[in-house]
Amino acid sequence: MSMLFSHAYPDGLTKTNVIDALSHFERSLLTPNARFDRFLNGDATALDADEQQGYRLFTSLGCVACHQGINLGGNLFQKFGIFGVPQTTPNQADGGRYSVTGNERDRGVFRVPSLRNVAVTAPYFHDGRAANLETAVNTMAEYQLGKPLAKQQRTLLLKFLQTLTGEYLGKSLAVDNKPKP
Amino acid sequence: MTTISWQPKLIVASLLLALTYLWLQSANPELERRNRLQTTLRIIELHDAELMRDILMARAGLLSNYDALTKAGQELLRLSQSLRTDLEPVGGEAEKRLGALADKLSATIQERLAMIEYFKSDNALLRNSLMSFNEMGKSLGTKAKPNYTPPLENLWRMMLAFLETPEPTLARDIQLELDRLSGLGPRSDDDKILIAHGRLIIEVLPKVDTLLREILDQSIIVRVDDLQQALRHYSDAVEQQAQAYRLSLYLVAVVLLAYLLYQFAMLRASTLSLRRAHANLQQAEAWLRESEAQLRAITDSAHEAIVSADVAGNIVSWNHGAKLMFGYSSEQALGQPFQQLLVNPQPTADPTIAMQESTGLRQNRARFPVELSLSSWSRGAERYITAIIRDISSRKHLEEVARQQELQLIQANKMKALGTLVAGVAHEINNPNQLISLNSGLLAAIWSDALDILEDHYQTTGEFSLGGLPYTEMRGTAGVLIHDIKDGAKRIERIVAELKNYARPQHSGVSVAISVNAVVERAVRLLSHLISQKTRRFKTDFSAALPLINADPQQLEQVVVNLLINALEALSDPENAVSVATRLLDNGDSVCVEVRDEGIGIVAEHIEQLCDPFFTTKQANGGTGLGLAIVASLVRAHGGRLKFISSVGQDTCAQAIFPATAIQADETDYAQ
Repeated sequence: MSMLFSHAYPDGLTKTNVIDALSHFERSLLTPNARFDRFLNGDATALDADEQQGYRLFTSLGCVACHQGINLGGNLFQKFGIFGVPQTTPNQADGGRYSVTGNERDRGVFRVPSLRNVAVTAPYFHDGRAANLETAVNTMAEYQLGKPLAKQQRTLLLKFLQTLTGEYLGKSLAVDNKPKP
Repeated sequence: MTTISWQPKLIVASLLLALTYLWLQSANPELERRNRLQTTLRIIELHDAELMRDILMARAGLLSNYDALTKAGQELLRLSQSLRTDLEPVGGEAEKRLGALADKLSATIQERLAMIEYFKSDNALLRNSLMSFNEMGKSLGTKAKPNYTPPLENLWRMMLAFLETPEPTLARDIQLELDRLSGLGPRSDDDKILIAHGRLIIEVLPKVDTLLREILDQSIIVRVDDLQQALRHYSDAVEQQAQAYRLSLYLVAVVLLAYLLYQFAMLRASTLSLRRAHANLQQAEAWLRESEAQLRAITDSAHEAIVSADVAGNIVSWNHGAKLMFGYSSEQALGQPFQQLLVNPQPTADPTIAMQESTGLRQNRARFPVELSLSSWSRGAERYITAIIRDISSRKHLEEVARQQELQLIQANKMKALGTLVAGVAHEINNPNQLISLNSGLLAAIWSDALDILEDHYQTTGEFSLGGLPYTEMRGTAGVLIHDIKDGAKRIERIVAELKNYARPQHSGVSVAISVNAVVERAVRLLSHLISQKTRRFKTDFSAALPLINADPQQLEQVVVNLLINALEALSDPENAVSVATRLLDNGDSVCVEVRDEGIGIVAEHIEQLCDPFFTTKQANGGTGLGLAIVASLVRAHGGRLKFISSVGQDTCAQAIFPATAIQADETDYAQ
C-alpha cells in the first residue's frame, strides 16, 4: 500500500499528498442515474405514485429550501436546530463550522449534506446520531422545519428518498428497496 | 602586432555581448503576464457580477438552487488564488505592492464568500419560512374558525407590509401580534408552526437584507480596479525600463555599427597603403631587376673573368668572361672550388694584396698567365671573395716583344757606339800595326841573315844564350816567333777592316737595279772551289722572271757569299746537301735568296743572337763573330730583312729578303 502510494507520490506520505489522493478518489465517486434523475429527465414511470407524492412533499414541506441543486444539498451551511435544540448527542461539544471560522454565529452550524444515496449511507448527521433514515427525517422535520410529520407524510418522504440511490460504475447501489428498520 | 589585432575583436565581442544582454532585457516578458493578469481580473469581475446577480435572484426567490452561486464562488476563489500565485512578490517595490493588492483582493473575495455562505443559510431559512407561512396562512384561512380570522388577517396584512418594507417598527408590531396570538391559549400545531415561522421571518429577514447590503457594499470591483491600476503602473514602469533598454540597445548597435565602419575604413586605408607599398615594392623590384640586369650585362660584357666564391672557396658566381677564359660553363663552374682555376693556388687568397699575378688553368689544362684582383665583401653574415681575373698572355707577349726590341735598341746603340769607336780607333791601331807588319818582315830578313852568323858563332864558341834561352832552342823558334808577329799583325789588320766594314758599311753609293739571280750566280762561281771541297750535293734553283732589286752588287754578293760560307761550314759530311734558291715572296713585293743546308743546325736560343756582333760558335776556327752581323747590317741597309729557320741536327734555312722593284729582270742579262 505504502509502496503504491510512493509510486504515485515520489515524495511520500505528506499532508498535501494525502489530501490530493483523497480528493482524487472522491472525485471518482460519481453515482449517476438514480431513478429520480431518470424521472427528472422525463421518464415519468421512473417513480411510482407514492414516490412522486413523496417528492411533492419534499418540496412543499420545505426540505428543498436547503436540499437543493443537483446534489440535493451539499452547497450551503445551516444551523443544526432552527426550531428548538435537538436532543443532546454524544458529540455535543462539536462546534461545527465554528471550529473552522471561529465565528460565534457558526456555532452548531454544519454543511447541509447531499441526499444522493441517502438511503444507503446510514448512520446520519455529523455525529452519526441517527441510526436510520426515519429518525433522521423526523429530526429534520421537527428541528429544521418546525413541522412534525404525520406518519403518512414520513412514509412517502422515505419512499422518495429511496429513489435517490444511484449507480456506481454502472452498478446500482440500492441494497434493498425498503428503509432499514 | 597580435595585441593590436586582439583589441578590435575584444571590442566587437563585448559590444555583441552588450547587445545580447540588452536585447534580452528589452524583450518584455511582463507583457504576456500582464495580459494574463488583466484577463484574470476581467474574469473575476465577470464572475463577481454573476455572483451579484445570483445573490439578488436568490434573495428574490428566483434562484432554484445555490449550485450556480457555489460554482461562481469557487471559481472566484480559484481565480484569486491563481492571481496571488501569479503576483507572488519576487522583489521590487512595485511587485510587492501588486502582491499586497492581490492578497487584499483574495481576502475580500474570501470574506465575501463567507458572507455569502451566511446569506445562503439565512436566505434558505427565510425562503422556507416565507413559504411555510404562506402555505399555513392559506390553509388556516380556508379552515379557520371565525373568531380567529381578524387577528390572523391582521397578522397577514402586517407581514405583507413587512415583506414590502421591513421596518423595525413593523417588526415590533408583528412581534407583539405574534406574542398576542401565542398568548391566546392552546393552539393547534398549525398555529404554532405559523407563529414560529412568523417569528423567524421577522428575525431573519432584516438579517438577510443587512447581509445583502453588506455584500453589495463590499466592493470587489474597487479591489480589482486597484489591482488593475497598480498592474498598469507596474507594467508601465517595466515597459519604461524596457524602453530604456531598447534605447541602449539601439545606441550600442549604433556604436557597434560605427566601430565596424571605422574598422572597415581602417582596413580600407591599410589596404590602400599596402597596395601602394606593393606598387612601390614592385617598382623597386623592377629597378632592382634592371640594375641587376645592368650589372650582369656589365659583368658579362667584361673581358675579365669575374668570379665570386664563398668563405669555403666554392664558386657562387661566374660571368661570361670567365666562361670564355676558362672554358667552363656557369653550370659546371658553380659550386666548384675556386682553387682549381689556378695552377699554384695560394692556400688562402689574401685579399689585402689587391693585385697579384698567377697562372690560370683552363678546362683543357692549358696554362696561361693571369692577373688576379681580389676583393672581399659580405652580405649578411656571409663573407664572399670576388676575383677579377685578366688573361695577360697577350700582354706578356707584347711585353716580351717590347723587351726584345729594347734589347735590340740597346744592341744597336751599342753597335753604333762601337762603330764610332772603331772608326776612331781603327787608324790608331792600323798605324802601329803597319809598323809591326813591316818591321816583322824586316826582322824576319834580319833573323835569316843573322842566323848564319850565329851558327858560325855557335860552331866556334859553343852554346850561348839568346834572350835567356839557349841558342839551340832559339835557332828553330825565333823564326816562328817572328812569323807569328807578322800573322798577328795581319789578323789585327783584318779585324779592324771587318770592324770598319760592320760599323760603317761602305756606301759605294752605287745602288742599281740588279738581278738577284746574277749576283747569286757570281757568288757561287767565286766559292766553287770551297763548295766542291765541302759537299758533293750542291744545287741552285733560280726562279725565273724575278723582278730586279735596288742594291749595291758588291755588298749583295758579300751577303750571299757569307751565307754560303756559313752553310758550307755547318756541314759535317760532304754528303750533306746545300742549295741556293731565289724566289718571289709576298705576292711579288719581295725577292728572297734562300740558302739551305743539311748541317748541324742552330740551337733555338742562338737564333736570336746570330746577328749579334762577336757572337760566334766558331771561335776555335778563327771566327770573329762579325760575319753574320755584317750581313744583317748590309741587308738592313738595303731595306730588307734576314730570317733563320733551323732544327738542330737536320737543316738550316737562311733567307735574305729584299723589296722588289717594278722592273722585270731581263733574261738575257741573267744569261750573261
